[in-house]
Amino acid sequence: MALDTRVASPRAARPARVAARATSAGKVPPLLFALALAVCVVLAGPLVFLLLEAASARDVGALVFRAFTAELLWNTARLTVAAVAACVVLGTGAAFLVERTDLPFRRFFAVAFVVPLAIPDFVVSFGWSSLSGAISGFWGALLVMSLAVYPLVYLPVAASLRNGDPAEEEVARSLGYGPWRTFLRVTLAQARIAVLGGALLCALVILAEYGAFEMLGYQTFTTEIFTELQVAFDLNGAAALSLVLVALSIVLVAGELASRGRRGAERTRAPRHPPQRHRLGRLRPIALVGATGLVAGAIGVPVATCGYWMAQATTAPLAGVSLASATAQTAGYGVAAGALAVVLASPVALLSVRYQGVLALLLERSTYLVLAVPGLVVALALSTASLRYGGGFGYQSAPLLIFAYALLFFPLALVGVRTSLAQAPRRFEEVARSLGVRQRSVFRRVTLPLVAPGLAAGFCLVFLSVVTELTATLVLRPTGVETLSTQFWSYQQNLSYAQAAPFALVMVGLAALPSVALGRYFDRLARRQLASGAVA
Amino acid sequence: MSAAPPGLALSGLRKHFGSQLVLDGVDLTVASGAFAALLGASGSGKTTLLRLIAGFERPDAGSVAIGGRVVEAPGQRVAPEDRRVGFVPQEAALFPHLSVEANVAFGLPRRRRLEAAALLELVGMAPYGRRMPHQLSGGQQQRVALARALAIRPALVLLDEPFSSLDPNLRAAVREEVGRILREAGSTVLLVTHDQDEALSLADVVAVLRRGVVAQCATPRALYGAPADVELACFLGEANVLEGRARAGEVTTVLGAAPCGAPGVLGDGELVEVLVRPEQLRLVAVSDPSAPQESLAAVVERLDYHGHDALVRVRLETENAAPLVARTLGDPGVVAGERVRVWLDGAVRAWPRRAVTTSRAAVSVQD
Repeated sequence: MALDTRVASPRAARPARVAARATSAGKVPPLLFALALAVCVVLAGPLVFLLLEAASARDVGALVFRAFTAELLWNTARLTVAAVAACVVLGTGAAFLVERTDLPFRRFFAVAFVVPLAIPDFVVSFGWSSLSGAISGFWGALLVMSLAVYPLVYLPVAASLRNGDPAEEEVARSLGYGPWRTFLRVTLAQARIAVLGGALLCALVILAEYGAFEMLGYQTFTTEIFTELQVAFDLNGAAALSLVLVALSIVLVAGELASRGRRGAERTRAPRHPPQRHRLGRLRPIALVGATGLVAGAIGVPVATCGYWMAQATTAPLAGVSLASATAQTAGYGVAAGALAVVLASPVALLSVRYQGVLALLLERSTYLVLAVPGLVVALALSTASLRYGGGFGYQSAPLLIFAYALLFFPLALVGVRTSLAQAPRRFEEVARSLGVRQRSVFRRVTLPLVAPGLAAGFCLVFLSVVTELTATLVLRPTGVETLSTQFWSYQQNLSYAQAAPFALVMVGLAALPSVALGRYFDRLARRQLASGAVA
Repeated sequence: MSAAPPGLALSGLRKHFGSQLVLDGVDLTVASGAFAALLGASGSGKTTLLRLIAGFERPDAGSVAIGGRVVEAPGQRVAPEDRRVGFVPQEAALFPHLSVEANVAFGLPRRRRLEAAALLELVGMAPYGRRMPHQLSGGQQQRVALARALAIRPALVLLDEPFSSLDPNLRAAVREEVGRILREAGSTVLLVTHDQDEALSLADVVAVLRRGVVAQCATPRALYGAPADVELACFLGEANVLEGRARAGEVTTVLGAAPCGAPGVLGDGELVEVLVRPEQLRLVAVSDPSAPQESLAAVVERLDYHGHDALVRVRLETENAAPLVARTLGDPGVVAGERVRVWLDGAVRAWPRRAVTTSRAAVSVQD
């Protein structure tokens, strides 16, 4: 094989051979490719199933195109637009205050601004709506969602502001831009991708939200699908509405991907020195009050309300599972789903990080579609599939629920695994082998230690999402099983706030644990990059 | 021929990626214990060659032997971990999760782990054993990477542009230090670089990689003084390439007649290309009486002052000639626009003129 190239004319016979041999650097192992492809097929499953289901329904057109749909569309759209706008303002503002100004107690706020991620939207909603009946409808939903979801903008924007190259701002200043113009034209431009990405996540969360809106009496696509499914048992109607919801989400995801593609390659070098902080001067007290207000609204109110209701517990507890058993159940699901999601994400991440090519990119991008499928729709697709074609096999069983979680939160796991693989470039393995270490030992001594923290990060992200998940759990949980969120939900629906509150608090505690670990991991990563960047 | 097998022997190595041919039959032999440099422009396939030797990539054809042992040949392959090749990558690539000491001990069997301290001593990093890699400067990281590679007592040490990421001030010092350590260790070394200064000053023997083949492999002096062709001459430093005519061991150019060496025999009256290194051109102010009889009048067009030396671009007055570049040690004592006298000192190198090079600019200066 190697000999005949020399004999053959050097250039003539090449093209046919290229495909087979060009690969020795980037040759994709067939097994890896097959695994990644299988994962992508599995991920696309619910979406494809939903399409087939809707297509086979006779009156799908009539179900989609009715005045009611238009009303739902209007409700959903105006809330999404308004809440995303609010989240962008709150998240970007908070990130700017923490990363780029001399706001007092910055370290505290850096943590406090992220904590709402661990508080489920329906708990924030519970906190506010049980405070006053006036908090309901559109304005209630807007208030609650802004406070509950803004960290999704805050996190990426803060990271971008922290890692952005201060040299760009300095150059702008030296070219005669004032501080304000520099902020608008350079700083915000640097953070643009982060803002867009965060806004997309907010919009998807709002589209998929059920519990918070149900509590506030605000009707969106998701609440209506839930009602049709659980109350009217109308599968066709639910599937038809889901189509519109998924279409909305896909438009958002595609729009974000397209707008991201227009900007060139990301800067790869770490900044040499941390950016300058602006002096707030006389605005400092105002900024402090604003930041405190945000934290009070997003954390203080829900936690305080739960505490208040717990203290009111005088009546005998209603029937329900114990706090301990619900906690164990929830944690068990979280661990299983986290592990499964990381396992599923590994081949896709490995392919896209180690073997960059069109195919790998395509496969990786296809998993973004999952982002556009709300939890309720995944649950709907899985339960329908199991009932109609599986003879009820697996329906409302723990494995199916765990599988649904893993699908739903796959993108989170992928983020973690990708980050971790980027920490372990192939050259470390090469060096290790040239030092006389066998491949299997190389994995144990080099790859695994480098990758492990990122895998744990992906696992934690999935875990905390599972702990705070309500909608899909309500549909798919095994009969008789209550998780923290479902038990909270049923108490809350019965207006047994005193019984509901402890479940909410334990849920927040359970979700907050990995959040703290995650925060520390990403912080260390950033500092290490800063350190090595200063050397290079 | 010496009795010991060569430290490294490459024969007919070919490699292509996609439709791009990167290595087109590389032959190279490095004597055991020698310090060799592989010099090439960026993208000339230097790093690919290193990776083939280390075993990270497989060649399309050809063979690699290290210390007389064939590690790569058609139908035969020794795994990277069994080649005893100490690899020092460009960015050091210290394992970020291990301390400096653990990095150095990485390739050592358990019972020999204590040797790490001695190796750190060797590279002058003894006090840093407990640090983590990200706490070290670039030069320190390079030294640790070197110690790590030497730990396995390699038959061959490969250095992939190890100094290119360092500050210029630091570079010379680290370079010198690494050269010393490697010579003391006595292993065969192949250093890949695009920096001619580095290759010429460090190595016993320099191979120039060009368009996928070794264009010339010689000692630094032979390479610089007697490059195989004009293109190599220009690649290896500043060069004036003049047209000339050969006659009886001499060539005559605009600068007059000079003794000449050539790769082959030049015919009488044959048109030739003549290499004149800038340091072979002498110049003094026109008023200076020390100028010899045969010197020519010229005008200084431009002056690049470097402190230790200066490059002076002059244009001969006598003829409608292209400019020439001369190098003077220290301050040339002239300024732009000044009239000077220029003459050629010593023997030159000449090649039969090729048709393609007639349009080449007579002066090639790399700065």
